[in-house]
Amino acid sequence: MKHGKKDHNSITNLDKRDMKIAYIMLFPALIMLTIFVIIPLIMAIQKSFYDWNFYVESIFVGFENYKIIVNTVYFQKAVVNAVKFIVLIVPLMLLVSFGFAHVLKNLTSKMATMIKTAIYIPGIISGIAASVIFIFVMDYKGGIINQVLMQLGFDRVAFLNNPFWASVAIIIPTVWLGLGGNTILMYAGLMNVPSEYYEAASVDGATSFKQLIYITIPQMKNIFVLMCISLTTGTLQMFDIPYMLTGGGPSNSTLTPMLYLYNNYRDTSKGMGYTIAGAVLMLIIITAINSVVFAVIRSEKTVEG
Amino acid sequence: MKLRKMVAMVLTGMMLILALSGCSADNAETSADKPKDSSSTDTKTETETKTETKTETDSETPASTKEPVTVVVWNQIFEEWNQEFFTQKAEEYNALGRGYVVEQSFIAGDAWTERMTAAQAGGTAPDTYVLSYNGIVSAARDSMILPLDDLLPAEAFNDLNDNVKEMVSYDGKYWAYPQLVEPSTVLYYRTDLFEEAGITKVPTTWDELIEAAKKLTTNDMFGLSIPDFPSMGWCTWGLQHATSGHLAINDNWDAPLIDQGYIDLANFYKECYDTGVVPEQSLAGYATMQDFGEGNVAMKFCGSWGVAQIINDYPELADKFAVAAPPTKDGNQDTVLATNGGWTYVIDAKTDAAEGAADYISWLLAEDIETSAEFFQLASYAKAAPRKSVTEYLNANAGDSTWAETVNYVSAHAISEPIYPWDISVAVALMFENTALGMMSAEDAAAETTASIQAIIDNQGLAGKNPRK
Amino acid sequence: MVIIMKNTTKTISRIVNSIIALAVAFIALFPLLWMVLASFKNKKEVLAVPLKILPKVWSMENFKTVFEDGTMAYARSIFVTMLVAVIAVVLSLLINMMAGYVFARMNFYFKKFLWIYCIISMYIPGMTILLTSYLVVHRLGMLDTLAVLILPGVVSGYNIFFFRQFFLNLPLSLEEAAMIDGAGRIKIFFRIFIPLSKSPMVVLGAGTFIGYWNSFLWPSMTITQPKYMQIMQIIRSLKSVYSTNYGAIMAGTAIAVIPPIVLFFIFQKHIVKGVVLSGLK
Repeated sequence: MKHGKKDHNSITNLDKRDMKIAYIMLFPALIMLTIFVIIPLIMAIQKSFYDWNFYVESIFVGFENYKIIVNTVYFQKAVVNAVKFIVLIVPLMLLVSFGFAHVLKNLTSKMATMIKTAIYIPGIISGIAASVIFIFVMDYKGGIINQVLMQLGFDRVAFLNNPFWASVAIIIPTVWLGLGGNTILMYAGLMNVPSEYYEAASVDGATSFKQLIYITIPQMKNIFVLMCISLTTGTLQMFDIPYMLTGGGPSNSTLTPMLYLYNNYRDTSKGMGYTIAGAVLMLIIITAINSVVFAVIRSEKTVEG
Repeated sequence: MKLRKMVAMVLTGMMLILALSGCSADNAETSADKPKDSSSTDTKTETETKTETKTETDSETPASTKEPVTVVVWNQIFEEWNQEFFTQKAEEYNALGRGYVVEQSFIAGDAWTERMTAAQAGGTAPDTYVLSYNGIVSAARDSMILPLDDLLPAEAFNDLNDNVKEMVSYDGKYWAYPQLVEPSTVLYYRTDLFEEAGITKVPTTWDELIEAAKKLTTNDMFGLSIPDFPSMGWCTWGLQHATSGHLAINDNWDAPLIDQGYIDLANFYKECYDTGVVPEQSLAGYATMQDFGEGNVAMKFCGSWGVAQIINDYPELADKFAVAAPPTKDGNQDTVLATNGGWTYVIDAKTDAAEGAADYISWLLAEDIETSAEFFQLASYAKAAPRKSVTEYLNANAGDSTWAETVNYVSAHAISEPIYPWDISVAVALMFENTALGMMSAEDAAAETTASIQAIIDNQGLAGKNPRK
Repeated sequence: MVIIMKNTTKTISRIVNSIIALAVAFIALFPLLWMVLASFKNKKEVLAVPLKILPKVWSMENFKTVFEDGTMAYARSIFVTMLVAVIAVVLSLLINMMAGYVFARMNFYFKKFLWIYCIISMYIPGMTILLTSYLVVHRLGMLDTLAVLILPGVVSGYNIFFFRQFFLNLPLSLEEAAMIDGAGRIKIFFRIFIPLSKSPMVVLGAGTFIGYWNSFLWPSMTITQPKYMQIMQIIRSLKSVYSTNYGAIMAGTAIAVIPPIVLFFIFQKHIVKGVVLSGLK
């Protein structure tokens, strides 16, 4: 930050010559952002106020679209599902990655690197490909999970057609994809906690549980908050895994907001206006959650400064 | 301060672009200009060049064009033989040099809707594409497709069977030309397994069906396959009618009609699950015979198209299966048993090659009887022809297909697909799903579905809007 | 005595932890292993009851099926996706690096406004602008072109942010010397900054490549012609084309996940570091 903090008044003649170059160098980024992000965004906001159908003239309807989408049962259900997934996935991911980071910490560093690499590999795979793999693994009759369950004397599980198991079936690949990245983060955070703290605590006779509560967790607070937020917004935007695995079913139990919006985009018989209104609502929610990140970063700065 | 001015100007310019594009975005829908140049695929160039040498000037085409007009056709990916047939037909057509060149894309069903939405949103929809019967009315009502009365010769429509005529018309006009008619539900069963299990009577009631399924269920074989839930929206229409005597809303489109018949049907599906005779999770989609063909289920509900799938993909089962009319609650087989579904060709409202599209449709479906008949022969006579002349031809030439009789029987006992919004059918499927999976009692599910259908009627202002009334 | 005991508990804990870690790593990799095994099995073995762990005969049949299926255009889509991703990576690195450099080192009017303008894109869900973006590219006549696959994702607020952070941490003395020698900004950027940025370039380049390789929604909206079909579009349709022929489906998927994994292995150190940096910001 320290280099960029010059005031406008102090811009010298030399800087002005620089400026031209600055704008030239910025130009490609700005123009492309304008065309591919900002214009579509403004159009989306504008369209959300219109009754909009591809083959019929658009009509301005004010906030009507927002009223419709908020009152749409399936959209409500999708939002409830998103909250359900957030409540399940975020703590699960935090716990698992935190726990596994501790496991890694106790390994030789060579082995830790190896394991980190191994568990990060699924993170590179797209949700689409991962879903295809899991459809196969969770096949009702010949899938390996069900075959193992049968061998162990359990009944087969209809992973994709049972409201409870379908949610599990969504969560497993989601965690699978995210485990590596989150563990690596947690591990880095864990290694950042100065070891003197622990040594001092050991001398004072603090149990490892106490060390966890009084040292590790407070020290890693920011990582927890940031991960929480990125996991929450990520889960809110969950799309490809439910799209591929369950299509939102059974009984809409895995319908996510993004999947709902996408399905509506595909249905030409419906007006697009209220779908776009739903999409804009999601944008507002996600931005609101993300703004917490800035609050955290700012608070950190005030602490430091 | 020259620089400052410049920056301000650039920024203003940027804002202007933003504002302009924002305001004029509505016009995007009316500009159907761009698409055609980008749509020529290299795979088709060969056929194109072939045609150019033979092109005759057609009086109907703009006189100035020497180059044949390109007609973009979107077809769905169904069975392999189906795709081969239409690819070959398009090549034949192009070779005739009727003044148009057909450029056909095959699109998988799961990618179809978003592609079509995107194309329609951008005004780049194909000139002609396949559409199922139940989509015709809403497309016509929203002016997404063109009426065909003036584009196709009158005799093309005169040759249609009366029930099909009705299925492609709206507001006194014809909006689609039918390719085929097929009953959406018949019951497939394995004759060899029936014999082994000592089942002598083909089930006609639900109780008999479940009894038979119980006998057929073994460790690695399920007795029956019923529709997966997403498909239940459409493939249960016939059974809905068979059980309750009507469909999900009344003729006036102002009230849901979810009654005891629907509750019974929902409970039937529940019983299928509860008795363990169907896999708790479908092993294959409704429209594919894969689970049946691979020997994972002994009986399966599927449309009549399944016959050709078995014959082509599982020849080892060809003499081990039979087709029956779908069982009903009380065993009455002289009632509505299914819907007649199938595919038609429509012409996009924004096309600039309407004549060409019509010419191709006419040549492919409405002219030469043998061209049409070939398709049904490839389909193992398990689909019905929409044209009287073709039906006669097929009747005279059909081999000894044991299923043709059943298929025709069910087809004759089938109604056309409902044209009310798809949401309503989804709500009904949800009722069956909720009941069958034990989420709630059939009565509660019915109440919930009644409420959501009512909401759909209110939200979309359907009351009194039934275009067929 | 106490020390020895401490050492033994330490060793035991290390062994226990190693076992847990190996078990987790195995579970994490198992679905991929299972996919690869399945791709060599024949139609009967792949979903066989009871389970067959290894294929009886290691057959290439499934790979042949996928590659030779004319309607799927599988091989071509691999090539096209690779091409798109590589061009996008080059463009993306150049453009975002320039922007990051400008924001880190230079001063100009509306800097704050333009900075927000640039990073705002990080927070916009793709689904919100999916349809309207489509309308824009349609209007520009970009449908069914390579450009529509490449350009919209090239500028990334996140990458600009990342590069800016990196440049801010480089000492000012770097360019001061060069400036005294009379070198211009652009020269400094290309001569000094780019050569120093290998590590963020690797991290963001790999990330961009993987992002493009895995992209699905946007291509499925904008590409209708088989010639530019992206690999994930094909993967999505494998299930509907091959139904329960899981051998072929897995063969197709296996090939499709190889390029990003290979890339990851080549640059794993940088990438793992990048994950940490991006998470901690």
